[in-house]
Parts: sequence; structure tokens; C-alpha cells
Amino acid sequence: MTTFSPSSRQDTMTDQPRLRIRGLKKSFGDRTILNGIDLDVPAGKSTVIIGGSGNGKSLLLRCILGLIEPDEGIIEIDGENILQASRRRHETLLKRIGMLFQNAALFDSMSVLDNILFGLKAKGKAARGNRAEQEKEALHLLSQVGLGAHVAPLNPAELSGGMQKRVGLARALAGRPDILFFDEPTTGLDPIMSAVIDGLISDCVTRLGSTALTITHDMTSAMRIGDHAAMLYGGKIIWQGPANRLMESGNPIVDQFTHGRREGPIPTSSLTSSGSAGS
Amino acid sequence: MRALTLPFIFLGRGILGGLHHAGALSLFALRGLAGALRLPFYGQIVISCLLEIGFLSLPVVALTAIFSGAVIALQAYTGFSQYHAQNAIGGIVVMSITKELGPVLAGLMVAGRIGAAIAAQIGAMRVTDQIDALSTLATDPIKYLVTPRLIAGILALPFLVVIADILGVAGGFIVAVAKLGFSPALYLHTTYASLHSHDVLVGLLKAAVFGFLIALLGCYEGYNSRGGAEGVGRAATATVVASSILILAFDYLLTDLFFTA
Repeated sequence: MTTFSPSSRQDTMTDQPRLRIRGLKKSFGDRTILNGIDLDVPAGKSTVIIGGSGNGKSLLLRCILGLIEPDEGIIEIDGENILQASRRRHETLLKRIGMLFQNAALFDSMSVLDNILFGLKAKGKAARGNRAEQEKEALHLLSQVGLGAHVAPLNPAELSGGMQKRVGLARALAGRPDILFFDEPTTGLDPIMSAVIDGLISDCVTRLGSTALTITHDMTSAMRIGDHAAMLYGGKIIWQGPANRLMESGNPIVDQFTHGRREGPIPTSSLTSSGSAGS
Repeated sequence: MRALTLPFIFLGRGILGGLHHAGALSLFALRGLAGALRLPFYGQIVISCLLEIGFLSLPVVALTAIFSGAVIALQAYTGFSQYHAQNAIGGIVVMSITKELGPVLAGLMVAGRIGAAIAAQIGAMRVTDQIDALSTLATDPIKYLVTPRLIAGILALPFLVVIADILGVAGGFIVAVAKLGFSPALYLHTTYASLHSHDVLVGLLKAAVFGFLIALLGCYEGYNSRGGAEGVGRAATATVVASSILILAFDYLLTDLFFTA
């Protein structure tokens, strides 16, 4: 179904992580959510962060994207600390990034086509001048996520949740970003649509050569799309390694979470609490 | 002891909270205005906001102005006829409308109609992550959402007040001529004699300030809304209440500045 164009990038085998995080901390009042995050996201690979609700996964993503300012720490993209970048430099870095929000976050005042055109224009990758050329580019992106031209004039509210996510992915792919972030991409979707979205994410990495960072608590999805995995618990990354070792990590906290056991070191109350920090 | 200090604790917290709010609002306004000095310029959004704030508010502002002018004429006649000064009502109507009622009533109507709409629109974008999506698309949300609305508010309200001034005077004219038996020529003469460009210009300046305040508060409350649909509702309500109060407060300050010196 998916027809991603092959990537010409040759940077997927470099040793330097595309994204490097060290000592990242964020508190709200006396509640510490992120308490010294250390994480490497290798270039050209798909990394998955798992963790229970309220453990700060979304907050971590928002800190990386510059939507929330962390209290301390370093966030580097290709060795450049983005927390010290000027506003103009930060905007330039954002043009290399694509983000799919949990609820797709499509602009509801625009049609599907205009949402994607907005992504193209914002990333400075829209074909110059000719509206027809721009639309052609947007329709190509729609086809890459398996949607036909008939959805282009529709309003986002007229689409199902799965279709909205696909449009959100098409918008995130506008400008062929180096790094893609996915916030709970399969939450609220049926198993078939979850598999479709997971397939699209995998294709972004394998065919476009993008680096992907996904946060999820859907273990099926994590196993399907992840090359690397990490678990966030108690404000820290407590385990990271190859995704295919997630189910037998040897870490009792990770094992309890991945196998969905009630008994274990994670108190069930910590999985049901969710604060302002998000999931 | 605790009971004695409690009122002061609440008072102190209230003052600090108010100062924090005022500071945050001022910084937000500066960021919004500074957006107009940087490229890109979202002209299409400014035009769309001008239509929404200016053109689509015309009916409600027009009706308010006509009835206000009519009521002033009626009330002035009732009061002034006791002193045989009823010929002055043309002047009373035009001065009341241009100096005060035109800008204030237009401001209050637009605050109710547009302030709440801006807060709801931006608030809904906030709680559905659309504002964060703008940021991740390398688009400054303040520049994209706030700056065009501030510009449109500043430009649209004076336009509405010009219309309100004309229709308010017309409302007074209709009542004076059709109901109270005034000579049209005499009424127009007294109206023209009392019409001063200073009054009209200060009225338009007031309108620009009110338009700025309405757009600013709508954007600020919407941008900072939290907590889903309930939070959006709170933002809309807070916008209408705060902008109505600020319109009346700034009306006093501007009147004091321009008419009592």
C-alpha cells in the first residue's frame, strides 16, 4: 500500500547519535517529572520509548521539540545543543523535524489539502509560485500515506481517527524531515489501523532514511516499529537496548510493564496517576 | 493569630497574582506587536480577521448605535424641555455619540461577539495541540495567531465607530423629526454646529484602543487556556468580562486625558 520514495541519504550508518540527551530535568512545583534523562537516539533507526501514563513521556518529547523549557540538561541534534540555539536557529532546526501528535492536531479551520500545504510552506519546501505544483506535491504526500485525492478537500472533522493520523503523518512528512517524532501514534485506533500506522512509521525509517523517536505504551506497536527501545520510569530511563530484547530485558520493572503484570515493583497507583505533565 | 493574618495573606496573594497577570499580559502584548515587525507578514489572515471583526460585526453595532441615538434624543427632549432648551438635543446626541457612546457601545458589542470567539478559537487550538503543531512546523504561533488579530482589532474598531457615529446621529434625527416634530433643517444645523473633529478623532482613538484590548484579551485567554472544553469556556467568559471592564476603565482614562486638560 505504501509507496515511499527511496531515500538518497547516506547518513544512516554514522556512529554519532542524531539525538543525544543528557541530564534532562523538569519539575512542576515540587513534583519532579523528569529527573535526569540520558538517552541516545541513533541516526536512521527507529527508537521507541515506553512507559506508563503520567511518567513524563509526552513531556520529554515536548522538551525535545522546544515546546516546554527543561530546568536543566542537554539536548543535542547532530552535536548541537538546541537549548542554547537562538530563536532563528531553532526555527531552522525545526524545519528538519516532523511530528505526529497523539490526536493528529490537524488545523480544523483548513481542509486536508491546506493542512499539508501548510506543512510544505512552513518547511520552505513548497514548489515556488505555481499553486498547481504545490497541490501536486501535497497529493503525492497523501498518496504516500495511502489516502486518495478525494480526501483532499475534506475538513479534518469529516475524517476517521485513523485517517486523521495518516493526514497528520503526511503533514509531518512534508519537507522530508530528518527526524520524526510520534506521540502515541496508535492510541485510540483499532488493531488493523494500528498496524497500518506502524507500517507507515517503519517505512519512513527504512525507505526515507529518517530517524524516528516514538513514545507509546502499546507493546505490540513498540515491538513492530522499534529498532531500539528505552523505558522511562520514575523520571529516568531505567533500561535501553534492542527492541527485540524488550520482552526479556531482565529488568523486573521493564518485565512487569511489558508483560502487563499487576504484581511487581511498579505500584499500580503510579500507572493510573496522570498530571499536567501528560503521559 | 492565624485568623488575624489570613485576610492579609489573601490580599497579598491577590495583589501578587494581579501583578503577575498584568506583567504576563504586557509581555504577551509586546510579543504580539513585535510580530508585526518581522517577516513573514500574514496579510491574508489579517484580511480575514478584519472581515470577522469589522464587517460581520456591522449589523449588531449598527442596530445598537441607531437605538442609542434614538434613546438619547428622547431622553434629552424629556429633560431639556423643562428648561425650554429642547433645541439643543441635536448637539447632545452628536456629542454623546461621537465622544462616548459610539466607541464604548461598539467596543462592548464587539467584546461580546468577537472577544469570546477569539478566545474560543485559540483556546480550542491550544487544547487540541494545534498551537504546538504550529511550533513544530517552524511557525511562531504568536506571530501567526495573535499579531493578525491585534492589527485587525486596531483597524476594525475605528471603522465600526465611524459607522456607529453616523447611524447614532441618524437614530436621533429620526426620533427628533418623526416623533418629536423637529424641523429637519434645524436639527441638522444644531448637529453640525456641535460636531467637532477633535471629538470624532478622540472617539476613533478610543475605538482603536478598545479593539486592541479586545483582541489582546481574547488571544491571551485563549492561548493560555487549559483543561479541555471547560477551560475554553472559562477563557471565553474571562475575555468578555475583562475586556468589558477594561473598555470602561480605559474610556475613563482617555476621557480624562483628552477632554479635561
